[in-house]
Amino acid sequence: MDHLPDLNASKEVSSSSHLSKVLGPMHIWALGVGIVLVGQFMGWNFTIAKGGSLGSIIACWVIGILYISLIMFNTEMGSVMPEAGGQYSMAKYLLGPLAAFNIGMMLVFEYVMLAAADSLVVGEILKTISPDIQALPYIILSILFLTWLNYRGVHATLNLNIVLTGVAFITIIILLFSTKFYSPSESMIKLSEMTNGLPYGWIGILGAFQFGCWFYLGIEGTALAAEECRSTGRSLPVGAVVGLLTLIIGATITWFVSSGLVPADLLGVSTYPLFDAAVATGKPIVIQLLFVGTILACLASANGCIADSSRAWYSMSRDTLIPEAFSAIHPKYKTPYRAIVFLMPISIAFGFTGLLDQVITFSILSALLVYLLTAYMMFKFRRMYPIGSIDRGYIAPWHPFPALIVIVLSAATLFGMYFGYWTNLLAGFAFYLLASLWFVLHRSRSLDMSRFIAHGASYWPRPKGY
Amino acid sequence: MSFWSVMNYVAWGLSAVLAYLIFSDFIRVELGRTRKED
Repeated sequence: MDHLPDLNASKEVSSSSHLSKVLGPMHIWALGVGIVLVGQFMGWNFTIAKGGSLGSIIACWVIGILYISLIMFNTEMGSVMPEAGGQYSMAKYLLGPLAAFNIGMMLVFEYVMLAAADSLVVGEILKTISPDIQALPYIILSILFLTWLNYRGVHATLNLNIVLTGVAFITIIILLFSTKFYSPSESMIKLSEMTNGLPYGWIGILGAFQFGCWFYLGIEGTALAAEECRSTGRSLPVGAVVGLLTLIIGATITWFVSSGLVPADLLGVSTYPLFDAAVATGKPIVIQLLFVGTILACLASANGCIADSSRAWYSMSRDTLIPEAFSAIHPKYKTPYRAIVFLMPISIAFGFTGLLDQVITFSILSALLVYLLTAYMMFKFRRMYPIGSIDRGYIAPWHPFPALIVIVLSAATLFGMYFGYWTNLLAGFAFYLLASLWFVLHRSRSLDMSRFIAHGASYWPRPKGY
Repeated sequence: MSFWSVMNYVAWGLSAVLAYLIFSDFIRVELGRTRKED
């Protein structure tokens, strides 16, 4: 079999810097769902403000289709790339250095900003207990605690995420059953009275797509931990698919309970929709549980975001796209400790701004651009490595339809986003354009091409025609 | 001073302890690396 050159460089890289292989499907589930579950506790309800109650559930399901499609081919490509970086690593082998640099940056900013937003919400929620509570020390404490956990090892970090995510999800189920929805005579769910249908027509649904992403944004991050899986071919597909099913069920329950308990005009502008739904039940235990659930969901999300952003930063550094200093592995904990410590103050800085919607919009924009490029990569991947040419842990069915669906729905979401946040959209594009210019004019001179592809050269055959 | 005002200081204190734990280990590892390179 014809292999790419410079295998010695590959061996050198892999022996001097590797992450611990300790993760199973449950950890992948916790990483994916942990990052995303916070979207059920806040943010998704802006779909109601944009498109009404009916527009909200349509956006929830349509964007769900986008993510099912994305997870299909993302998992196929991720399962043959057993190294950290997820979509970044895919771009490295399929699109080249400039695209890999951009996708790496987009992933880092998607997750760093989400971590900042999560910690910001923890601080803000705690303020509801007493006016004497200040948000800032709790914002900083959250980020420092989760950074410390990530610094000390990915296994303990994601074990914590299993607990946090599990408890947060159970609180949603408890809220559902507390409404006695199963009994027509006792049910507290009043969908016909509380919902407002489709007040802005079909254009409202398009506007709602952006916030519909909140239900699932970040699930694709499961591929970032590929290098740390005991069995990538098994852990990645099982963890990601079960995770997405968990989220789709959770999203439907969340919409059903919240829309049936809180009037649409209030729900559309709520900061904590599930907590408000719990308050509407009037049951103190349920209210307290949802308060705790919201905080745990935020912590689990920030925890996963710190893990993912540091892996993307580490991978870029290891491949010499950014200074190599960040590719060092901790001698004892086997974590990318320099990347973790470097990204921490950036998270804190974004948390300080307090501009939650701006921070989140930039995060969503970064994610959508990654989805578009990932869909394009799937076409190229199947062309470079047809079925049967390399071992795949998972084969995505119905290709090319999932990739086409992702391209169409991501473009539609960006189009809808333009109406409400055009300045953010242009600022985001300008940022990535400037970063690309820096890379082409300056950093690309330091790029070591043999090292850039060395890691995959040992197990990937050279594709025909390349 | 209310209980929650005291908790603000506790949160600051815990943040300082965590920052110390992270950075003391970070400096120790970096110094170890420098010695190895020398």
